[in-house]
Amino acid sequence: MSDWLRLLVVVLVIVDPLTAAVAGATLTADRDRRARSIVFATGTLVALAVVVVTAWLADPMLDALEVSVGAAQLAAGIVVLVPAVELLFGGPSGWVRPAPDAAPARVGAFPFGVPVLASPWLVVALLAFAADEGAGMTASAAALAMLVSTGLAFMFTTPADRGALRALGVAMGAATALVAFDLVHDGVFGS
Amino acid sequence: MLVVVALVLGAVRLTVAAPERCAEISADDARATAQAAADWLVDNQKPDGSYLYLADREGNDLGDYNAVRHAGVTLALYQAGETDAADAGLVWMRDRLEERDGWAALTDNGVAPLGGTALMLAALTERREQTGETTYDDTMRDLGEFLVAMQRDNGDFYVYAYPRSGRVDREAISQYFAGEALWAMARLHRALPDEAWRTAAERAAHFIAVERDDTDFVPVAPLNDHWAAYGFAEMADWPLSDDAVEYAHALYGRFAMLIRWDAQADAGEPYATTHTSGKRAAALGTWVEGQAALARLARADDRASDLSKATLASARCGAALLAARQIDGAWYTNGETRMDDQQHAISGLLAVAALLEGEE
Repeated sequence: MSDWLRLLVVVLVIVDPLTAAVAGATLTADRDRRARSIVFATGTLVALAVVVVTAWLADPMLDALEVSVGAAQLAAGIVVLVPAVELLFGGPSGWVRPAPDAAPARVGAFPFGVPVLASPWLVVALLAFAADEGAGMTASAAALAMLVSTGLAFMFTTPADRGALRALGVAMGAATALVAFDLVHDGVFGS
Repeated sequence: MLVVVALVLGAVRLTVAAPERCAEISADDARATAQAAADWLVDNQKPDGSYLYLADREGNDLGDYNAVRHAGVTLALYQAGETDAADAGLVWMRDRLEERDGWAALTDNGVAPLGGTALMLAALTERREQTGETTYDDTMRDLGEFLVAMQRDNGDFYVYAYPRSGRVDREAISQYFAGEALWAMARLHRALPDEAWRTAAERAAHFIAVERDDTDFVPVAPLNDHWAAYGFAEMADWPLSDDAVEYAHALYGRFAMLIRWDAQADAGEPYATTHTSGKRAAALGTWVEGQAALARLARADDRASDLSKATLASARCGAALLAARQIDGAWYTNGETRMDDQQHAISGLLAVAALLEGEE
């Protein structure tokens, strides 16, 4: 697997289409198709902007923080463990509440774009990836992962069976934990 | 959820992602710091060639001694160009050499620790490089014969011998002696080429790369063994085996993390509180030595070239920390300095200086 493809898969796991789908469904439950489209489009654009800017600013940000690549990887691994644990033991809750009176664009930007899609752990992980793999490679992989993730989430319109969601959450949590441990490994032993 | 993440982010900022205060250090500054440390060793050398082993801030001799560390300090003095003082240290070692049946070993109260002989041999190869003299070639060969005789079937070494009785301790282990012997054999082969030295070094390198961390009960592999890094760098054009190159990558990560943690400890409060390592300069110096050796390996072996920038940056960071912490030529931990604090700092600083000069 090429480095870029590997990075795409890793970022896709961290973006977590399952949680995005549950959050999207929660936020757009009582909205028509047009409003739903606005929520997803706005969220995707905002999240894309965040991930691309994060990737391009990774080096100066880490320099300003006086943090090396190894330390950033280790920190990212620890932070990514938080959603992994939540998915494994709590399931994909989406971490949002319905806001039926809010404008679709506002809901799309917040909370769907940030922090559901462009989550704090994704931002921290992208800082580490961009510093290690390069801004261009990270930005392109993250952008495609974001589009794939929101595309999958957009297709998820009806509430899924709770048992199926729980099982998918465990699988997603396990994958996220693997990514977290890989980051910690890279931070400790060098990538 | 966001509150939890904020707390975790705060915790990682205080610990693993704290600021790393690595000042820039030039080759000249590194050499000047190393020279000050060498001066401290020379100024405190005793008439019999031994060094001040343990001292407080006032320079009071706190006693104790160790022949292995004596050999290491002598090596560092040769590296620093303090040949007269190092030669006096060599006299002290020659007085403690046990010679039998074509081999020689440095003894310490009747015991011959493998590391002492290995570092004495490394010191003599350094002397040969620095002076061009061949005076001690026969001694070097005899020391090499002892190391070869002490090598086990798996490439590891027996670590203690009792020359007068001819007994070899077949149970004891030492995590670092194998690396010291590896490096000494590799340097001996470079100075006085002989397949026996080369084979012993290659077997030792294989043992260290694939077995040592298990057999020597290293809790979290790889062992931060700068001697192994020295050995790998010395063998770079032999060439080095793939397993050793892979192990060199792991060593880089270990040294980088250790140096990083010390750099974070120097970032002021609150990071000083969350990063109290209590490690002495001897430890930091070995990590700098290790990274510098890996940087040399990275320049000589394409399979390790990906480590080139990172190893130098890490070594340079550690060297800057050493320079910042030096007090009147020495490094003190809890008010005491031990001679190997100066030894490892000198070796690390000089290695970094050479690398930086190679970039200019």
